[in-house]
Amino acid sequence: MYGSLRYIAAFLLYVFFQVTVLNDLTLFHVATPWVYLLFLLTLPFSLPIPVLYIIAFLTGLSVDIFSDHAATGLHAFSSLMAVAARGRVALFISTTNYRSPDEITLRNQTGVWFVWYLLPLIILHHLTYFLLEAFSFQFFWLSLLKTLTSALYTFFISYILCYLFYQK
Amino acid sequence: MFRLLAFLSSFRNSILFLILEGIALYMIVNYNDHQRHQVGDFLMETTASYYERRAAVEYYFELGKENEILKKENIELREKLLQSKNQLAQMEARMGKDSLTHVVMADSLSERNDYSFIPARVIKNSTNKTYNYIVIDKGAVDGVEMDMGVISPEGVVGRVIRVSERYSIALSALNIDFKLSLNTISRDAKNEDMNVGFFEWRGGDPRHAYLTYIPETAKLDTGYTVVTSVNSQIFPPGYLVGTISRLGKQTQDGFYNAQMELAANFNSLTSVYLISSGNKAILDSLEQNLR
Repeated sequence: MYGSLRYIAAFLLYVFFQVTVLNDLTLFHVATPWVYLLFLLTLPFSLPIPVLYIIAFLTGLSVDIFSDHAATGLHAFSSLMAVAARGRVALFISTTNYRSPDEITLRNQTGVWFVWYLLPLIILHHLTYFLLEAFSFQFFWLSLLKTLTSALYTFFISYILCYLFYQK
Repeated sequence: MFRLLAFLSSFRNSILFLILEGIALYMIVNYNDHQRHQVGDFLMETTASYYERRAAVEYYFELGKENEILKKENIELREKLLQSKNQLAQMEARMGKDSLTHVVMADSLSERNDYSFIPARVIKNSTNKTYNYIVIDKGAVDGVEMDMGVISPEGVVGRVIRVSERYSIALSALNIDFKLSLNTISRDAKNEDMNVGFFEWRGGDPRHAYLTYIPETAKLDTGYTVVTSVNSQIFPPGYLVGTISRLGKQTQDGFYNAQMELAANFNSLTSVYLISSGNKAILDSLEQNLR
């Protein structure tokens, strides 16, 4: 009970800061930090997959609805992509031999683990987002530039938050 | 049956994933104009040809009303022709055989004849959304180009924003993205009373739109006609848009708004004209040279 309340509070905080503050922190009209993604990536691995998907969808949709420049559905789509891949990525980068992602706990992970866990998922999320936003490959290089710069930006903020709240 | 269910349940995560992504994609394509416009020409051609077939059936029911509108337009045009002939005769009589004025007059006349019209039919139209679009049965083959103005016999209707081979889509004036600079003319049509403003539709009511950014010095009253601006590049200057029906309060920035009743009836839009202006091509190339 206490745990779920904590996640609900985290959800509200992340989405609130995303749409009120972070959305406006765009650098050079290119890089925007989407730190709300960290909320989805730090949900416990023991969570049942369908619940995780639904949470990801609703979180993305909330960000979509409250950020006026984004097109509806973009964040929902890309959040789901990132969340669907996170189990595999976590298994792949872990040096301990886990049999399934359920056994991974964030508290036991090192800083290096967080780098290899966050970076590919953030890039996947941002790439999906920007390609869908352009909805064609005509602006592929611009999308790629936006992806990489935004991903670094998001990663930078996310990593600080991880360092403060999640690492041992 | 049970086996089938067991089989499906082993994929339940992937199925849920696909369903949710499907919903998200549906929202992206349906609620966002940019993505919708990117969904290829092929889709546009096929859906438009369906609309056309449907409109062909509905067209017969509207024929009576349509005839009335076109008849009225014909009469108006005849009157205007007579008027301008009279004016020309009067002018010639007044000027006598002054060759210089003849040259000037011929010049200004040739400038005005630069507009050409393509008659077309509306095959799909909506008025109840915030972003309304009009699908027209003429395309690139018929000479339609981007940014052509769309008018009905009654008034300004929209602007072409997308052209495929045989069809085109126009931004309806009933679309909050539709922008147009306007002039107002008093009832007795004296040029000194000409005011400027911008067209704005705020969603909802398909009969009314707003004239915004009218300078506070402008003299304006209800019943003034609103026409396309003399600076307009896509519409012939002075084409009817609507009439002022209500004056708004003055805002703090020194401008005020007025509500106007639109001249075109968007609920029964069938015959329209696409306007191509020779001036526009020249102006465009000029602008590009400057850049």
